[in-house]
Amino acid sequence: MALLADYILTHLVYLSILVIFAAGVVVLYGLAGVFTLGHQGFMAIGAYFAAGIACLMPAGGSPILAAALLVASVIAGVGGAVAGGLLLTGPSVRLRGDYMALATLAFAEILVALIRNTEALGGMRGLDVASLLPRASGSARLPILGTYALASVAMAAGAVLAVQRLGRSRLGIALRALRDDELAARSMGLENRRARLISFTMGAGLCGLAGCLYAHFSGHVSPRDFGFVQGAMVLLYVVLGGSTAVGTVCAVAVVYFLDEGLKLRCFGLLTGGLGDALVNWKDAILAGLLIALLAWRPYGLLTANRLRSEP
Amino acid sequence: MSYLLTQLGNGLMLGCMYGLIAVGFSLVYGVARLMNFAHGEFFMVGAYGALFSAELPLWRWGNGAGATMFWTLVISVLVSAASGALVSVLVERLAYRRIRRVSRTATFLVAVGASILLQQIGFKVFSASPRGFPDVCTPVVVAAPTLSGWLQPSAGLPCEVAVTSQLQAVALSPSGTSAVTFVVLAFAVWGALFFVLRTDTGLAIRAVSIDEKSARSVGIRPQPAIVITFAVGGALAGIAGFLWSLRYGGVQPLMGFIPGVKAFVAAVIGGVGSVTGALVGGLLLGLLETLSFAYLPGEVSGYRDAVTLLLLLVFLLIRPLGLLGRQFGEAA
Repeated sequence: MALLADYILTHLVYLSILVIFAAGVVVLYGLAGVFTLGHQGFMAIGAYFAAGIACLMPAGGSPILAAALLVASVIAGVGGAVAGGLLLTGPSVRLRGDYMALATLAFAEILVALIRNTEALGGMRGLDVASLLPRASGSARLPILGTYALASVAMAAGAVLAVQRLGRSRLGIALRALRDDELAARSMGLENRRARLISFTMGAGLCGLAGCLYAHFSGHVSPRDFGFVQGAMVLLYVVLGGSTAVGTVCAVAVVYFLDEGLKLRCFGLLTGGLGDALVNWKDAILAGLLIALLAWRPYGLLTANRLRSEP
Repeated sequence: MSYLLTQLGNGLMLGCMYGLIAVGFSLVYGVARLMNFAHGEFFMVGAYGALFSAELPLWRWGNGAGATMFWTLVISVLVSAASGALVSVLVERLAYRRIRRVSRTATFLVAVGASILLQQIGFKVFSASPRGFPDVCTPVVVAAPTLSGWLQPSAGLPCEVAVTSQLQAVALSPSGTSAVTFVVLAFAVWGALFFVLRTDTGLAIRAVSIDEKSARSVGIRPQPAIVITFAVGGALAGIAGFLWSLRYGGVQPLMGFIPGVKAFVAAVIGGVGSVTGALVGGLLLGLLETLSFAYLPGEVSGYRDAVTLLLLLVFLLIRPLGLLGRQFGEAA
């Protein structure tokens, strides 16, 4: 029983971090219509900034210092990610569609290549993050884990609600207008550069926050955590979620359910050779399933197939 | 001086390989408006196809070593081209055709999914350990330096490291491999250019890529043109895969990723949609990479991929249409 609770709580924390990350991508792709393939770069900035600040913690420092450093690491992580976002704002006004995708991809891959080759950042091996909060271990593992799960779920819910509200606000309407028909929106007096500035600030900030939380909770960051495939998976959640925040949460849940189901032999229903084969071919089956899901509902699992303008 | 010439030759060949992959990528983008992220995997499949055909004793026919070698090479080229083309057409039919017109982002994600699927199938079917290519080129060389030790990738090394050390090795020792690579590359590049620029089918493909509606109105059906483009692109990537593994060894399921990304960059530098542009972009990239590897100190070589991507970023910002690109009608 304790094992099950442990499993559920740990996965809840990682799922919440994923949802915050995806909420950032909803702002970038869903609202502003930037075809982004570089959001994992923002997350990497957040994670590495948080790890760097956490390293300042002296051994046996007071809890107050730890709390101050925690706040500082979140501010630095989010700030760094926002700075990265602002760097891409200029190109995003000039580049369209596929070209913007390539530019953001290049941004993230350059970042990861720099991290990989910089010894001070741990290179390929990655960086251990000094713990500012009590690590969940020993007899107090479950209560601590529970607190973390509660806090991260609350943060994820906050992020999703904020993005959902943003979509319905005047600003959100302006962003979607610019996404759907830039010429018409501009002729109504909406300014593209300002809209991009806002959306990159918010989107990259959320991705950076997710990176911070990831660094602090997992205790280790490495360039492998921020690869292209991870980024593409999050974009997939957003597309399958119909580019809305709440839909994205559903898509994350569906894909996570599929993934875990395959890992656990259809939740224990398949035993013997068939179950082994399933686990062995898990990644291939998942990729095939996701292709089928996308082909079935390219605008989102709950969105009917109709002609719709898209970025 | 001769060192420079050797390096230029190496860069030329590497660049032609990038160019071959980039041509297929570029053609497919032109007709189907689709960033085919799985293109690097066609390259991988071609390499495996060639590997198996070269290893089969069935093909060891002909009189004397020279004839055997000749037929082995010819059959390897044909098999790699055929397997690349087959996988390419299959992916088009099963994954892209339905969704291509509906949503571009979803299509791109499907391409990523197809790429992962092919890699995973590669892992399960061919196993993850890198394999060396049999030395099929030795008979033409009178006094061949023993390259076989170099051509075997050291097991356990990551692909990138293995390729780097081999680049150095091949650079210093002229061999039959270089001659064979050069001849096959020349034929493949000439064939690609001839097909696209001089045949009626190539004309139809270019027509569809410039304006699909107008092409329809003069009686060109886009769908067959797209299938043919996928087949040709896959075949070129497959041949590039054969030559790559012949030269650098290290045939493994993930081998397509990095050359695929480089070809991506080459296509953008040359101007997406332009065949000559893709070749020029590939050559530029190959020369740049080889020369920087030969003349810059070893510490900076880890940043090679970063520099390639920086080049992409610069081109996107300064000349998004590439060196030889032209504006496509943007789908509104």
